[in-house]
Amino acid sequence: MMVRIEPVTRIEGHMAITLVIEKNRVKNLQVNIIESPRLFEKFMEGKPAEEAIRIAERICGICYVAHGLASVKAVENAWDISPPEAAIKLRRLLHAGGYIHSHMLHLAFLVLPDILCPGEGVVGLAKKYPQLCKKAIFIRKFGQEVTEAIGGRPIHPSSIVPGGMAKPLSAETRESLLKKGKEVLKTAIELVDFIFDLYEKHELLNMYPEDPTYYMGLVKNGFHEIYDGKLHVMNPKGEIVGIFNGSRYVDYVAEDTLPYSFVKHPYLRINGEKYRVGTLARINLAEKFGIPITDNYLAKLRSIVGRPSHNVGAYNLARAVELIASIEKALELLEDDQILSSDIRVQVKPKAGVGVGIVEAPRGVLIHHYEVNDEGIIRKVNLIVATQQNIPSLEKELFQVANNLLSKGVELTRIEQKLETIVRAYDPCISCATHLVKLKIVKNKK
Amino acid sequence: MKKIAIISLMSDGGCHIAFLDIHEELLQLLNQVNLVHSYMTVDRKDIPSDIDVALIEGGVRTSHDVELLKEARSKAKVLVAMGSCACFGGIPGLSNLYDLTSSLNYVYKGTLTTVKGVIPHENVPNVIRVAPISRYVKVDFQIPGCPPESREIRDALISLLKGEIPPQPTKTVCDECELGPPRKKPKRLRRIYEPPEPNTCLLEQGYFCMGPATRAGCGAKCPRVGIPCDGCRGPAPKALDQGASILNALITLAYENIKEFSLKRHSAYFYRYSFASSIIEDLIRKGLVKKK
Amino acid sequence: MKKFKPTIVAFLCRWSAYGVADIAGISRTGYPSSIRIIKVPCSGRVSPLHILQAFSNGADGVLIFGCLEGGCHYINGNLRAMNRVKQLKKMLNTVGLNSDRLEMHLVGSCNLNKLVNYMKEFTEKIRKLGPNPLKLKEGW
Repeated sequence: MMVRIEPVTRIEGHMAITLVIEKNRVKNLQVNIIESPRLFEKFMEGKPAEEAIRIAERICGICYVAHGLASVKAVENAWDISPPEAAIKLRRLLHAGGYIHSHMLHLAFLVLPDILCPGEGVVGLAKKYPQLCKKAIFIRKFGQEVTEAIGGRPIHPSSIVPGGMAKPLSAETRESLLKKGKEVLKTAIELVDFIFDLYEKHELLNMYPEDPTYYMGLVKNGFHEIYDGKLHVMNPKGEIVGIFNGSRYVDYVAEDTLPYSFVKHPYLRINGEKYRVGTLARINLAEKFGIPITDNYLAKLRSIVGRPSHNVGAYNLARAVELIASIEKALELLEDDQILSSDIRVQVKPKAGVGVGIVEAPRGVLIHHYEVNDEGIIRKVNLIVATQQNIPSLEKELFQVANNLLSKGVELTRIEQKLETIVRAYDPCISCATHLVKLKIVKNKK
Repeated sequence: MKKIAIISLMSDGGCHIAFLDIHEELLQLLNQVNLVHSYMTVDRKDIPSDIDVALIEGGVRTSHDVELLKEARSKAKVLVAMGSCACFGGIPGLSNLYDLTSSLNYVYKGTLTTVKGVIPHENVPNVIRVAPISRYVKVDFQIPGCPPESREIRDALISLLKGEIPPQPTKTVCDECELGPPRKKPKRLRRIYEPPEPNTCLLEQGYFCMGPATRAGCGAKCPRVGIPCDGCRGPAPKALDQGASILNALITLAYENIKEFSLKRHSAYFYRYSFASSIIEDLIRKGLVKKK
Repeated sequence: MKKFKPTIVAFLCRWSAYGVADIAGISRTGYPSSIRIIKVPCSGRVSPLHILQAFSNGADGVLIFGCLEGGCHYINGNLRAMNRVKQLKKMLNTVGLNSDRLEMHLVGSCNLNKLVNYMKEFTEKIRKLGPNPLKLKEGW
């Protein structure tokens, strides 16, 4: 019997799940991604490298800041440019804005409805918990305001340029953002406490699978890092087994293609093992954040799930901790007087070269790799996007959970809902991943 | 209550986010209309019938997109193309300049990290040329932009639900920009890694600004931060081809500065969002232009 | 084999060339029947889009006639048009068309012979070049 869940809703992008069930066991599970492949890696060829930034942002309508930053870092790497410190601070602030909007969107709209009003989605949440929605919207709006203030636009910013940033932050805007940000932090703390309580009350972590995998993410001197740093690899036992400079990623990561999916499956070259990225990976890999309120929450999380944690549900709690971190970090950057500096751009001269730019997108490690010619025109592109790195693990976990529930006699609709909840914990960004997944539970008529 | 749906084809999800960016007004809106389908916020999987207004996000890229689009058209009283991908094909339209088979070969077999590559062919839809949705169905209204302004989406929805045609901007970004209009011919072409002079028109300084050929409505946000407009809102209303419009204006500048014209390179400037609905796309579909 | 009869779209400025063509049409001189005339208020009105559309719809050649230098009713529309044509010719190869299929000349309002000669020469040139490559495609 074949069962099809199509599309998986309340995720960003188009995914379906296909299960082939025979004699009450899952014989096969396919995660086929049907998101239309736009093939950015090909059509970016021939384009001026500085224009790649605004083009690459359109890979994703949620994590566009991450793509813009990875792209500009790749160009600056190829052209040997070091932007001024103040520009990097502005970029970090922009990055924080992107995290606030993305993480809040996910936690409020994609996760909470499953807990508080299953099957009713955001419409149900808005009706039954309007105050909660208002708080979430208040927080998310701040993220977009930060992005607009630094980036020029709330979606697909235009001020990121090779050499730095195009426009400084005005004292006025900074004051208004600081003032609002402090209120936002208070509200976020209320919300995150609420989420932690919910998890405890309903013992939600028990409802998610454990998957002991490798993890990969950026770390800087032991601190949680999303803009710079080195890539670290952790094994399932929690030991760091590799630290490398992003530009050498090709030696560490390879991608498998599948006949039934538009998304490629990355794995570690050293041992062929799959690995996970994203909020839980970053929380596992970092010692601490270095900011007080967040580090408290980190300690709280670790006391619940341990380190490393392999629980898929812990992704959501890790995301809540990162939400606090993004706001706290944004405030720290806003209070730094250097954020008002107008020394934010250096001279740029294109040249032939190869550049790799790596950042942590909200969903995980994001790599942009460009080869440019002496006129500064892109010749070749390689992209490794966050979500695709989690797909191999997701597929395995869905298979296990489906089998487990089937053997317990759980009915099919409940299984479908359960599988979707697991997918949502990863906050997959399918537009990025295709650069794709479709779950079809296919019932064989035998 | 009237029913609205947001259906997504080949898109990055940005227009859906722009819709959610009405922030607090979203809660009011959800009390006034029935949002019956939205892959990001509503659990319903199929497209219900009797939709009053359907917002289509994204253009066409696969056979599956065409099916979904036609289904939406048959079930909606009013069908709106939301965003530049739905209206003109968007940035992914640039993919039409490259041979599809070579592109698939490169992405699935040829990149640096791909090992034992295979082009997906099992249970996946056919990949076809990127197209605006108007190539396949009748479109009642367009809200272009990458993404459109949140208030434009909201205002259009409110008007359409009342049975009225929403007002459309009649001018170009150039009209909204404080730096313009250009008063003299630039001496040379500049690329955006060079910082501009403040308070001077970017076109006049030699940047390839699409302001004169782009629909107004965004307040010229990009020139406001010193970056030339890249045309994300598509051509001015009534203009048929955005690239031809800007070329008309800049022909001498182009002639004196571009030694060798390359569609792949220069389309990044004048057809970034509208290639799939351009006259060149027309010539390619008719078999004239050889694809490389 | 049937002799190829080209279809040529000609944009004629109403202040000079159009009037001349009118006279040519009435008088015994005539002008080649391949030429399909479109009257424009100024040769400067012709945009790259019009030219490409003409080719897209099957024109084998496109001709533009404007006023003599210094004689443009709108001061310099004719010169802008000349620049446009120069630039577009550079780009026609990129879209698979021979740049010889596009031409522009400046004529005064009295020069009937010159106009008709330009038309005859262009028609002959296009006849030798052959039909628009689009027409050789299936489904034309």
